[in-house]
Amino acid sequence: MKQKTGTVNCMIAAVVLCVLAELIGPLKFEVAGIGVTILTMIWVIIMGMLLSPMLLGKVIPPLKKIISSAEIKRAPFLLSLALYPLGIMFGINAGPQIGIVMKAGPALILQEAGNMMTMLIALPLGLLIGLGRSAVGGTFSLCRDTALGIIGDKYGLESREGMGTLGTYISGSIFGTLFYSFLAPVGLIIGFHPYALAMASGMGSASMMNAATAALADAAPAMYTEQILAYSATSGLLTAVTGVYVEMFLSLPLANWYYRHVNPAVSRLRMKLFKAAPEKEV
Amino acid sequence: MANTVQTEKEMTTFENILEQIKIVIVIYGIIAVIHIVSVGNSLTDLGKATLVSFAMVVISIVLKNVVKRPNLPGFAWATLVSFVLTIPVSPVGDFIVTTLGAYTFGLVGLPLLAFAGIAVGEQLEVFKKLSWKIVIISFVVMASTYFGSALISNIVLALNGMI
Repeated sequence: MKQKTGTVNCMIAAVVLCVLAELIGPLKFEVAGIGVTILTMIWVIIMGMLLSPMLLGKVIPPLKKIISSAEIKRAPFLLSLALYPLGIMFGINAGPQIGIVMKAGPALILQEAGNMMTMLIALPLGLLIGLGRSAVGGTFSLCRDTALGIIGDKYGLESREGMGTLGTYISGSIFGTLFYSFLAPVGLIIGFHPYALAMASGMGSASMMNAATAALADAAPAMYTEQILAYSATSGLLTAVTGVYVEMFLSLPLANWYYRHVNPAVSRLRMKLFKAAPEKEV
Repeated sequence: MANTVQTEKEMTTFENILEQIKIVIVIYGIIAVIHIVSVGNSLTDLGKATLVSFAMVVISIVLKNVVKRPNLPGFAWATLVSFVLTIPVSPVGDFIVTTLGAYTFGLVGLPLLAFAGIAVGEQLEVFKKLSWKIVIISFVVMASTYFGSALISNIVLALNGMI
């Protein structure tokens, strides 16, 4: 008898969820005059989360037998393999348009610097609410797998910096895909051009990139779709190649420099606002 | 349990590749089912698209497992392989793009979101121990990188007169 790996049940669950979500379809409604669309992809993510033994499994015990901890532990591996067919879809949209992509080269390369802006507001805010050094680890990048490696190597994941990185990593794993599928249409409403948002989608996480891109393609006029996919693919590729070096040699030193310069001011503000003692260094 | 760990360690690169390919085949099955249910493509078109896409994924999986430098994620390899094969000078470019026209972009990405949702279960236990502070900060981080990059792109594209 083969060891139960959870592969089979995960696959069955995926088919059922996807078909069910397709049957429900996108849901459009209005909240205070603003049109809100719940995309099919959002149904899939939410239903997948609900399958957890900790959520619906508590209410419907037989569900725990289908989706147990074995399935949950197997899912990230299956996710990494499901990314291959999607990567192909991104590539075939960028390849034929290589001319346009090259023409947009300066924008595509310069926007990579935007991946260092994670800390701009988040770091001072983190210090203000009392995260101390954890704010450096939690805000120096989007904190995906490469960031865990870098911080683990330099400070150790049990350090304050490591706790911050792990925090953003876990929160991102849970809310990232959902958050970006809502954020992409918001970007259009704010007034960003669909191409600019497409270029911003390559952030270092393929599943978040897919969520942002698919939601953007859905919300933007159909004439933009092909180029949205092309720019998004190239941006994702650029981040995959350069990401780890940018994080290691630029983002982390920058976050530490930023920390040294804003921490005194934020500490004073903290004392005024909360009458709290300055954050103690550990 | 000790046995599985043992066998996993002894798995060669070749066996790893084979196992990953087997799973990918099932994933293509899921993708096909979703297309049949929601688009209702002809089975021949769907079959052709699946074969062509699968062939490129096999190349990508082999590259991912064999090339260690640069150590790129599998997703990046897949994008790179299909990108190179479909640039205008490629003799198979047109064929690949036309054949894969049977696929709908959003539906190919659907199964992975199901796995992403299911995978969240493992994080929930740890999540309960997280401070609410870092959760708030993580949202600011996610929004900042996205809008930060978008702002730069928007400015540069406008300066170049491309939008």
